[in-house]
Amino acid sequence: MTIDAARPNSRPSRISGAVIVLAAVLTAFVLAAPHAEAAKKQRVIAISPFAAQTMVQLGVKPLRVGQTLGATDRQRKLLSGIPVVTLSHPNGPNLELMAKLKPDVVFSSQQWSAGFGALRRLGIKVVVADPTNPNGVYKSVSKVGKIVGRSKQARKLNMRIRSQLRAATRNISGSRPKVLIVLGIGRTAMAFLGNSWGGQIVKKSGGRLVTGGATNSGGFARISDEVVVAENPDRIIVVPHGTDQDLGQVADYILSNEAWKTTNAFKSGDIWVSGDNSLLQAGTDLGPTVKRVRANSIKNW
Amino acid sequence: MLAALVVAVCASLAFGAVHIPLGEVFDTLLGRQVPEASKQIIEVLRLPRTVEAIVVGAALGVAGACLQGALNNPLASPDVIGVTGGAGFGAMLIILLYPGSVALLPVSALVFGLLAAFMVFLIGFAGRGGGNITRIILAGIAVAALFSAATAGLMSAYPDRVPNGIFFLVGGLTSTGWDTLETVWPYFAVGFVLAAFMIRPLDRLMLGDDVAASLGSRPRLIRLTAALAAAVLAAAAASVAGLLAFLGLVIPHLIRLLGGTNNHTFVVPVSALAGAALLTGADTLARTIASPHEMPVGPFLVLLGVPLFLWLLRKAV
Amino acid sequence: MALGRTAVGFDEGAPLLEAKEVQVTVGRKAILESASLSLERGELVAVVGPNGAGKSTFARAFCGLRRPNAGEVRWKGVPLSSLRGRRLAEVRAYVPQRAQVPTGVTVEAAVNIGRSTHLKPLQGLTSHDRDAVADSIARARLEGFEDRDLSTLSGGEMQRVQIAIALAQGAPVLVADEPTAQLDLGATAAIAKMLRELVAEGMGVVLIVHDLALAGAIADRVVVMSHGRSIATGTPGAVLTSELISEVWGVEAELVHREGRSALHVEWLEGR
Repeated sequence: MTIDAARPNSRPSRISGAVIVLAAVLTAFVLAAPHAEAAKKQRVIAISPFAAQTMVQLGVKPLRVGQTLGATDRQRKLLSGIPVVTLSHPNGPNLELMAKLKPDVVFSSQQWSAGFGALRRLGIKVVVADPTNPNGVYKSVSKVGKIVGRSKQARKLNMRIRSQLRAATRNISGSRPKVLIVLGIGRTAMAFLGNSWGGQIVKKSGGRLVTGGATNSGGFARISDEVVVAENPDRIIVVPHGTDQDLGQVADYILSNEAWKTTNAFKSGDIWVSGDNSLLQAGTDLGPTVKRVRANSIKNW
Repeated sequence: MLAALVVAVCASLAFGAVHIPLGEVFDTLLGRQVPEASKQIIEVLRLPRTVEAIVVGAALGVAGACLQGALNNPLASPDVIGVTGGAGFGAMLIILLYPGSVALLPVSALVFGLLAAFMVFLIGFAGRGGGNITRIILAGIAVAALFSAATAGLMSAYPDRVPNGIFFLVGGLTSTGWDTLETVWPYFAVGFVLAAFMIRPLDRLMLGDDVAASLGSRPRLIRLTAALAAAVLAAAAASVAGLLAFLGLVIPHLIRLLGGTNNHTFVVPVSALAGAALLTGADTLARTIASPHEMPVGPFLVLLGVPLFLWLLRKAV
Repeated sequence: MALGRTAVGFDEGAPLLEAKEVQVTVGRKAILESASLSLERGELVAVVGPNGAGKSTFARAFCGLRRPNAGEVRWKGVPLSSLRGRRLAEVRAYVPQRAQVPTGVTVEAAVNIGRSTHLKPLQGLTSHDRDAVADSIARARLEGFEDRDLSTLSGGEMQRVQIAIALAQGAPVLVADEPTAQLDLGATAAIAKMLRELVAEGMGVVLIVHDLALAGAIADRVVVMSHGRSIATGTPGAVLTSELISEVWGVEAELVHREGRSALHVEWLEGR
């Protein structure tokens, strides 16, 4: 969803003369004012998916975006048509390529911090604007807006996000079901913790997060089957990791876990496989994500 | 061997994800006018990396040669004195626990690498029966296992951050400028100087502990100092380029087979040259083969080095 | 590699080596009770005795390879405790009984290593050093062997290399522990000749041997050791009497010299 910048739309009229010309010029000036910030066309590369998608929503297309890693990106449509740079550990984008493209600003993620020093030495400004939890989205959007010169649009976007979220969290009442979110990779289950993006979304959606008391600054922890059984979640959400996993296969794999058979979630069949990265990757779509979680998993929508 | 090194260095500077003509490369080095982007790429990205490759390759070659001489064992490599295990742990500690403080990584790797070596030396060299080769090797294996387990434990606690650490574990250079080298160059200097002074004593040790003693050397002290030089060089190398112990094991053997001699006056310096050449060449390949994707150089070294090594072995036998 | 630093100079008038009542203990047990020996220039002293008498221990002790627990050792008048590293290597060269043979080293390279005591750490071999090496090789009768890999040599040839290495050290004293133990008759005779030649040049040689006939033939003086003590010192004729041999080795034997040849007549089997 893009917002086109307003353009002055006037033609000098021979009949009205100076007044209309003056009015037109004044109008043009007023309408062009928001442009002033972005008048100097910045070269921006957005490695961070959040920054890329936010930028586009603010009406500025980045030069390049980072390749999608991890699960299917639900907001990828926004970035169609923009060339992609490959990312590899530990620096992220290829530094020589960055030197050649010579952007003014790179929006990156903490994950690629190993390469920040080199980018800065190449004279490129590096900004990390990713929110670490949903409440921080507004600040991040403002930050992106400020840098690309669309502060006004950023304010509008924030307002829209807020109202969407408000609508999505309407009428959350009654008992809050216990929800376990797991990352569907490999043999042992990695649970989403309270400080992970998905964990926070589920909390906002009216669920009680099952973590077994585990804490980890990274936001994920392996919890044992015994803890799962003891906590007895009412709902289980499975987030597959990887873009071409057969969702059905993932679901079957989870269902085959003998140890979890005794949980309420298994007994009532409340197991939902989230097909994209909406619970993994920060985005501006808080409202729609909460709605989906409520509808598909918590079932309080 | 020197020629190979020169070729490798030129290749490293000339090739990369972005095509820069050879003429521009020379012009940049000589300080003449070149397009801004090319200048930046060469000076900020490729030059430090090439220098890193040379220094690390030489350091590992020398470390391996010194260790094999000190322990009189062809299987000796920086792994054996626990340095790689310790450095790996130190690096993963930062990557997994404090990912924001990436600048601390080389320091942590160096500190823990030296700590591991110190533990091995303490057990292996001190007290009665100290300096015994078997004891040193066993101590090294034990300490390496300890740190290996600790690293694995860390990785299982923070599995989502592990991919960032894999690059270090398999061994790779990154184009991040002069910072790391600026921090650790004293260690390289100390290591190289110590090793240089150990060349003759190691030769004496070759003739047997008794003959070495007759010639006025102290076998235990030689072993300790040579191992120390190797430890310092290997720890510094690991802090820059991750775990590349394979170089330390294979390069001296390669040189011995090529040169037909075990003399340290030949093996040590030439191992330095060969290590530098091989690492620089392998790194250039690793950077360019799947461009713009940068592969870690560790596996490449093995791919390049092992067939060469096997071929030489067959010729020798 | 300890670099020696001593203010005391060598006394050219003193005996090359003087060891008095040297004792070596391991734990509580004394493996060397009290042994004494002196060596002058141009002298070959043979140290003989049964297995376990402490001959090797004594040699290693006065050569500084093993610290004596008691007794006094002086090299050219300077106490052993003041001599370290290079200074000690300047005055004595020790040839062990069984040294490891490294692979990938030529004869010349090995003898060069022997010469390394004369070189500063990063300095190369001067022409003077090369001459000394060539000279050592010649005196050890190894001309033509320079490029041979050590692992291709016979026992006798390897022993000569050990001696060449010791000679390259340029020290006035050679201490050899059973250099002929594994060698055949011809090789033994070659070593014997070589040692006498060295002595004729003015070197002092201490030789640990089992072969009493050899000792009797080439030694100027003999030191007999038994049970960790040196019990007799003197010319072979005076010391290696039938009574002493019987007492120390428990075997009836007589050392006989005749027409430049020596032989030990042994009563191997009693009463036949």
